Amino acid sequence: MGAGVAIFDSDGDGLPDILFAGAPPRGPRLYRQTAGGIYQDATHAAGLESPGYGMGIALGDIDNDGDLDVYLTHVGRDQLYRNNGDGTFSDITPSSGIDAASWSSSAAFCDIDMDGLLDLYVGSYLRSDAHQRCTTKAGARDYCPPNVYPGVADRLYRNLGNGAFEDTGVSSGISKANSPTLGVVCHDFDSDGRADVFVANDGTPNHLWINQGGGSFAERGTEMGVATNLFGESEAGMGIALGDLNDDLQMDLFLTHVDRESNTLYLSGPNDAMLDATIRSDLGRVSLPLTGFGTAFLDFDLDGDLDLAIANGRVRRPTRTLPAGASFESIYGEPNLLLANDGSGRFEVSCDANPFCADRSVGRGLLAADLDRDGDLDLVLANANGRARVYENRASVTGNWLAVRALVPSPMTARGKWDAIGGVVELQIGDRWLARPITHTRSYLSSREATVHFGLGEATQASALVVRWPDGHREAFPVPGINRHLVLVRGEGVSP
Amino acid sequence: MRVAPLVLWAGLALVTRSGAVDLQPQVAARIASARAAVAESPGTGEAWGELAMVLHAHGLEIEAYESYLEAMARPPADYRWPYLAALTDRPADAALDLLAKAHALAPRNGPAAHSSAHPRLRTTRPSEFSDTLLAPEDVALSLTYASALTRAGRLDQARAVYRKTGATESARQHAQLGLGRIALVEGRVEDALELLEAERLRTSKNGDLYRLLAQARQQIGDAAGAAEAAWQARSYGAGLRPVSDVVDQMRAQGISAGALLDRGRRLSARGDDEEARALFEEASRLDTSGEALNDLGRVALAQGRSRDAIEHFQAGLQKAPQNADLQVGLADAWLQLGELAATERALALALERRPDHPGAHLALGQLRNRQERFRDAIEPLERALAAEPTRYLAYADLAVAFAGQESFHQALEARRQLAMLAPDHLPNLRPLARLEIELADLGAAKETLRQILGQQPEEIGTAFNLAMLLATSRPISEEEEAESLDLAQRLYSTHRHDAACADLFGIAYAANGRFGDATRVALRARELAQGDPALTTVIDDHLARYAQQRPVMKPLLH
Repeated sequence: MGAGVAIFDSDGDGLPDILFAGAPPRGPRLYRQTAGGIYQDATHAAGLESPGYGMGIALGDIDNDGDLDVYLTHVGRDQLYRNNGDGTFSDITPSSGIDAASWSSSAAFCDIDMDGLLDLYVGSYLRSDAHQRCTTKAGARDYCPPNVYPGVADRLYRNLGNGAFEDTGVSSGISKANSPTLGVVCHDFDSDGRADVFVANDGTPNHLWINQGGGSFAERGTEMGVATNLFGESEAGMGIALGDLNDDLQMDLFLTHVDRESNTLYLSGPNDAMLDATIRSDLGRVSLPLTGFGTAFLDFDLDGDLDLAIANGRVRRPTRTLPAGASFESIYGEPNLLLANDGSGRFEVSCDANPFCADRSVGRGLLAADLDRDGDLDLVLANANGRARVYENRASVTGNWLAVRALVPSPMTARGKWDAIGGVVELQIGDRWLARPITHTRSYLSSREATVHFGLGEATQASALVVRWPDGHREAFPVPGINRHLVLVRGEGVSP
Repeated sequence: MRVAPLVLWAGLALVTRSGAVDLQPQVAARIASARAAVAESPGTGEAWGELAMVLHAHGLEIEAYESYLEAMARPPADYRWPYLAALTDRPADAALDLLAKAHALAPRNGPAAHSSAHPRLRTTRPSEFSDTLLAPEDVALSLTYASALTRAGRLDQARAVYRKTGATESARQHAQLGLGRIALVEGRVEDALELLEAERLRTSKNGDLYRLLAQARQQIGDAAGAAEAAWQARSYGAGLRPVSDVVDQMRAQGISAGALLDRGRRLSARGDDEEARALFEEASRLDTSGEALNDLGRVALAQGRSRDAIEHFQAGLQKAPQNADLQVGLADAWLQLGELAATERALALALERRPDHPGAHLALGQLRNRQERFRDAIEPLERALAAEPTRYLAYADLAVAFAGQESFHQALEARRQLAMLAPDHLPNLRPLARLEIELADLGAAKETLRQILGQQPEEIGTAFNLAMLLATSRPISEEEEAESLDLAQRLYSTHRHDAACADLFGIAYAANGRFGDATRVALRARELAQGDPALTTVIDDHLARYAQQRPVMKPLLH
């Protein structure tokens, strides 16, 4: 089912590094980017060697010291590593109070109680049973579907400061639901200034945990339209992309699913409702033969519209007889997908001679990030039982761009500024407003730096730049120019 | 696992892949036999279609599709082949084309041209078909076709198929939901709401309906209505999918344990327990996981054959000692037999294997009720309901637990939850009415009693209580006066020697202001009550009230 990937500057040199979750004997691998775009294995030096069977990675600055700490989810006990700020990490799991010892999947840091400290939501997958045997209808041994195992309640940990966390799964109401969680994202879906949590479940209705304040949550997935697809079918939710496709400044959700279920796009609508808009977007049919995992909204051609990248790889044997000795990749490998938004919210395959699509691997974690800081978004893909891949964006026609990092000064430390996780950056280009969510966790089991990225097309200037901070407060900032990275700090802007 | 030697037929494109692996021997033999039939009659679509169905039933969908194509290329034209081919692992556009072809061939105008089609068609009179009354096969096909058209974004075509198909009663609900979905996709929220609310009044217990309703209500800002519909959607689960005999016919070709279990469960869900049982028995001979025995046990439990169920569950546990489902099944069976100690032991083992098993918590709650440990029953029952809202009948157990510890208002609330989810569930309505009466919510009690009478018009106790409540409650409308008199008169006419019925008739007369008539029948009641001093005293009191032209205010319930 694994594995995830993370992209972040682990050593403060300004260059993004790549951390892959992994299983024994290799375990996780941290690759540090050096000058010239060369990556070097720095796992040992960083102290990130872990004996756990890795699934996902969540990033978050748990102590507001300005660097990103790392949470590794495992089949077994998870681990929390504090970033020491010098390129090394310390395992603080034993003293943290975090005791997630089942089969965790995606996890996300976000400030649930608005106290300025990032709390931790940990998705739990299943209670596995090694004795369980499953077969195809023809009697061949195959991976078991999730519905033969019991689901496990997710966990919510409140950050108490000083690296200590408190399990609030029961008091928050989160532990009432046992479900096979794979994807998790945090965002304020009902615009009340509090971070909510969307959970993609594997074969059972998705959950949208609405933060009611006071540390309690209510599950509202069904009424808000994201529990199932339009046909009432619970799909095998895996990866999640979060972004504003219809320019209404509200976030939309895209979910990847197993083959024979389409991937599903939920577009925001009136009164916080979302609606399955897969049909209108043409995103359904193309995904039916494929099993999607990692996914990313990205404007790969910098035309101002959010496109989609999807990592695919089967979880069940193909519906045909197989030759003896068929390799894992030949049984389970599938091509990936790059889908271009035509500007009207409809997508078409944009895979011509693209190695990302041509590589037939068993894709899992996928992230889009500007690895080489050239202004366009590159792709990093983690594969199951295969080599990871890094795809540099070499699109022949590209437009202008702007990358924005929005920070909140920490009330606790003098130098600390933390990414405004849960907030939104809004950018006006002509008459059009674009919005990008500020979040680390995304895709499938994966996490990256929270910088948001806008493609501007041929526009040479932006009319306005507004940050909607996690508490709902809005602040406008000047745009000194385009094709650059901006850092915005709360309190340094003006009322919009 | 190596495949058994298969028949190769030179000249056909569909020879078995040499070196193919991973087929159970009996499955390989079944495929070989179907291939041999093709070799004997290569020119008929039927033989190819049979081969395709065998492959399809065992999940070999790519090969099945190729065989369906061969069947389609040969006479006679048969809508089953493109229909089933569309259900194999095909790209969406190709599947849609196949469904369109099948839909065009479907025998809605009579079976004459399709003598090779499903046996049911051969025995159906042509007059039973018309443009608006579709054959059962065609209903399922049409709904599948309309759904595929919707998913492909061909909404006008989908709407037309839904409208036509929905004229057949068995397809109406599915078609209405399909039209509701299209309205939502097109942004016509008010139209969707109108369709769905109308359907809600005709239908209950369809989670799909309530799920769409919740979304539509949320979109218009009716958050409370959306939350209520969402709760019902969760409680009911998914609605039943259209049933297709053609698809069942294909599934019937499956002989592996997995295929047999799959088919048996579908039949069981449709209430066809006997056929399901036969399939589970067959599957249990092939299955090593204990799953088939669990299914057999469940069927036996549903049929009240507790001892048989215990045998099945115990045999399953021999195969799979760690299986919590089997332990829960065993506990349910012991509980059905009233063997509480054995139930306790089985549940302890089930919860040891899976501490969060909803079925185990439900059974534990029921066990505690039987042990009259009502306080201990509440937590596991609430836990079971939270984990699996579709087990909503557990609200009845929860009500028993609350009532057992004299928390009558909470018991009433649990009964009401169940009545909302299962308005026709008589075993709940009767205790609900009693609780409403005891807690003096007489308006609600009257409604509940009317609901019971709607289902059981001859139920004397309910009619008596309703008439009594109506006649003794104040204020009373003219309609209720008439209703009480009518009910009381009917009861008296059929129970002329029952003193209580005669007394009730008098009370109803008095409620209508007819004190002379009330006195007359009360005197008759007094005659009948001889030997029952308590009732005689009551009737004397009533007579005294009638003499003062005062109606009876205190109900005497059955």
